[in-house]
Amino acid sequence: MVKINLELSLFKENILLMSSRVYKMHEDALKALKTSDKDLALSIIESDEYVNNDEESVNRRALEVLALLAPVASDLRIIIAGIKIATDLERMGDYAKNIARFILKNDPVLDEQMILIEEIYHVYLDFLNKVMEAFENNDLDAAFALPKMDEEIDLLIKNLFFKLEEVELNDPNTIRLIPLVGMARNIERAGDHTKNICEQIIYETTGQYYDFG
Amino acid sequence: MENSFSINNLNLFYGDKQALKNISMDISRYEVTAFIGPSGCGKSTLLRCLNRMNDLIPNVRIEGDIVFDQENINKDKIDVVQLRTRVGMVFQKPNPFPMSIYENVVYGLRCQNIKDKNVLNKVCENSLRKAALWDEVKDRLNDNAYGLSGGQQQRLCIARAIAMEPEVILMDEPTSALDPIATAKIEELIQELKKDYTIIIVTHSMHQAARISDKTAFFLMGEVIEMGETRNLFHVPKDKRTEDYITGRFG
Amino acid sequence: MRKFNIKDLILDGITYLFSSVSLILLVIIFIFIFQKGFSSLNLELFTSPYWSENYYASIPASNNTYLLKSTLDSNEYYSEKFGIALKDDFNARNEAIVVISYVHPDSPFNELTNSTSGANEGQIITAQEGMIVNKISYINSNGVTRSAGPVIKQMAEDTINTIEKSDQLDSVFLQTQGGGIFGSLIATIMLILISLLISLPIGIMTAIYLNEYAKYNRFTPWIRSSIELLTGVPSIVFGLMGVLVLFPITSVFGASGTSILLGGLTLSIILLPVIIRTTEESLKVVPDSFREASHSLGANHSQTIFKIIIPAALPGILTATILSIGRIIGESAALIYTMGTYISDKPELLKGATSLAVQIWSIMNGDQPNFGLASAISIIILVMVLVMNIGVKVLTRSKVKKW
Repeated sequence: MVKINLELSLFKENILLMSSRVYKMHEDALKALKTSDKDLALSIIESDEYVNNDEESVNRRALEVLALLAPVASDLRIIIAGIKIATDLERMGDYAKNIARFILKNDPVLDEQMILIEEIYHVYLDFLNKVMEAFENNDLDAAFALPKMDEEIDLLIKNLFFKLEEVELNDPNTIRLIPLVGMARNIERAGDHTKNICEQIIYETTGQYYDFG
Repeated sequence: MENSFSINNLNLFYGDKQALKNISMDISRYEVTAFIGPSGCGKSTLLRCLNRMNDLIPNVRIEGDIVFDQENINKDKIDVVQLRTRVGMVFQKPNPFPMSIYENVVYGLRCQNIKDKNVLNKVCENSLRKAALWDEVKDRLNDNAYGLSGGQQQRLCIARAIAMEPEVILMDEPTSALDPIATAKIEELIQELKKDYTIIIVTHSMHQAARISDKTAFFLMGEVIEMGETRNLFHVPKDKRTEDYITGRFG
Repeated sequence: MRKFNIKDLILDGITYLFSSVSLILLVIIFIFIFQKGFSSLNLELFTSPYWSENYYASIPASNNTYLLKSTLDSNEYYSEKFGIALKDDFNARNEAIVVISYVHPDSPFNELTNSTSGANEGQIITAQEGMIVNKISYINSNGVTRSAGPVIKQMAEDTINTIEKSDQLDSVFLQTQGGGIFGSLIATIMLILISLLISLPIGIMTAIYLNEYAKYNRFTPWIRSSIELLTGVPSIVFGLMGVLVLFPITSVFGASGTSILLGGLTLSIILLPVIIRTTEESLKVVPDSFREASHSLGANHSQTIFKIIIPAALPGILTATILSIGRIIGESAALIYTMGTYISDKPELLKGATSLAVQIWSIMNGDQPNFGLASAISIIILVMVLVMNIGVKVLTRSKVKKW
């Protein structure tokens, strides 16, 4: 049954390509934030088109494999999990796009706030990278361990909000901090979707549905 | 739900060669149980044990128990002929007798010395209806059975088995000689039949097993590797060998 | 460009030559037989007895004129006084004879009284067409009994003219022509019935036993080989065996010497291997799927055999029967010893008789071999065997397995 082996590995490759595109989008978003690079922001928005196409092609390929090869058991689970991961990745792409839009519409962020965001974003990028590695290698242990990082991200964002609360409402600088909330939310949601990918990896390998909350 | 068959430590030998190794399983009533596995792994052999058809083959030695209706059918004092009226069989290649459709259906009854025309007619109609063949043949019951298409002949064989009012119907790859449409008709028929009969089907197509069975047993080299609810076995099989077989990694 | 290979040409030539030789030989045989026998073939052959019967009968007095109701051929000579027509003919040995060609329904020749001493004395005989007239005694005008007919070298015309001159006939010497095969035909039919009655049931049951009951028995191959061996034994050996071994059985029934019963018994043993083998072949061809299906429906062994297998094997059994009949018709050596060589016109079970083939032997073995009659019978036998073989072919083709 060489054909199904080939199809499934191409399928997973597609997803990995899509995920590296999404990773780059977020990497670039962080860069653009630091330097307020509006051109970079534009290219991020463009990339989102490609990411949407990627999701479509993942879906199409999944349908083909299902219709023609009638996979069962683990083969079937690869397809099901893959479709869901592609959806998650597509959402993650949207969040990067949102951040890029913000960069386009607004003035650069102040340095002190930048530091906070940068730290969160680094954790997130690391998280995404490790999760996609776990997906590539079917690493079940990693899939169980990694969602911790999302907790870390949530914690850092909570701290950020605490700090923001301390800021005076009358300070004109405050107004510039409001978008930070939005960005942080984007990163938080992107983290949640990345955590979903862990759940899909567990499903693909064991057939069990796990909810990390 | 009580069991139709309970098999315990069944071993079967063709001369010196062991064809079935330590088979133990329960088969539930009013369900479709499928036996799957590569060629020559013993699934048909086990099926034929359930109605003692292996008696017709020389040099066969059977050890172990098969309990049907609280009796061990492997004990010699069992009336094998009577057993076969309660456990019917349909074969891979449709094999109607060279007689009329009517005579085919009532053959088993005649062998039981039932001669009353009214009874025979009624049973014939009922069986053909249950086998979803009545409408197609009701006007030509006296025609030779060979005038029917392959799929119709197989349904005739099913009607013939049903006419004996068995409790169990054994099917040995019943659709492997048929085209896809005839196959689909028979698969539909099996879903209807399981309301009244226990059905055990040997099939080469795992997809067929996945489509129509409630429970599936995977055989390999004379042993049952895994048996369970079909929806589980095809979703997350417990044994790697099962997984390799149903995903087609070896066949 | 054709390559001329000398070796191939020579081989081809030899093949064609030898095949033509066989073909020519066959054709010559057929032509010979047909030529000799065709003229003797007529419908009376089937109904008349072999031995000619002699009748010496007295003719009742008559005083009427018997007018012709139908027209006669130019070679027939009619006597209106006595209502009888005679014509010239030739017998099987090509000697000139005078036969009766017509008898008026009211003629005194219908009520002749048999005057030959013996069992039939006094019986009323009816003169019939085809009977040979040797002598007619008449009373002439002087009251003297004189003879007319071939006995004084008169042929039909002269005979009729002579008796027309007389007023009263005295007696007539008649002969039936004979040379028929009626007796042998009956004997052959009796033979067929007896042999088949014995060998068919035994042979079929044996075949069923070998193929259905004892299929996996160790001894079965041995039994089969022995049966095969029997098919090669020359039939004369069976004949001798019949005389030695089976004769006591027939004497229990009252036969003393050769008899149809003995011939039938011997023949049934000759036929047994053929029937067993053919029946077994037809049983083997019945697919196992039938047996399986029958058993799976709860039929026991004998029901399967008698309801399914035998009906399915029927064409083969029929073939066996027809082949056997062909063999019976053609058998001669074994029958010569067991059934005898005396041609009987009224065959009886416990007495000797001849089958058609043996009749040929008898005819040719006597001091006056009758080639014509022998060839005529050969033609009849050939036709019967041909019909049997065609019958077998037609049966096996039409019943070519629907399954």
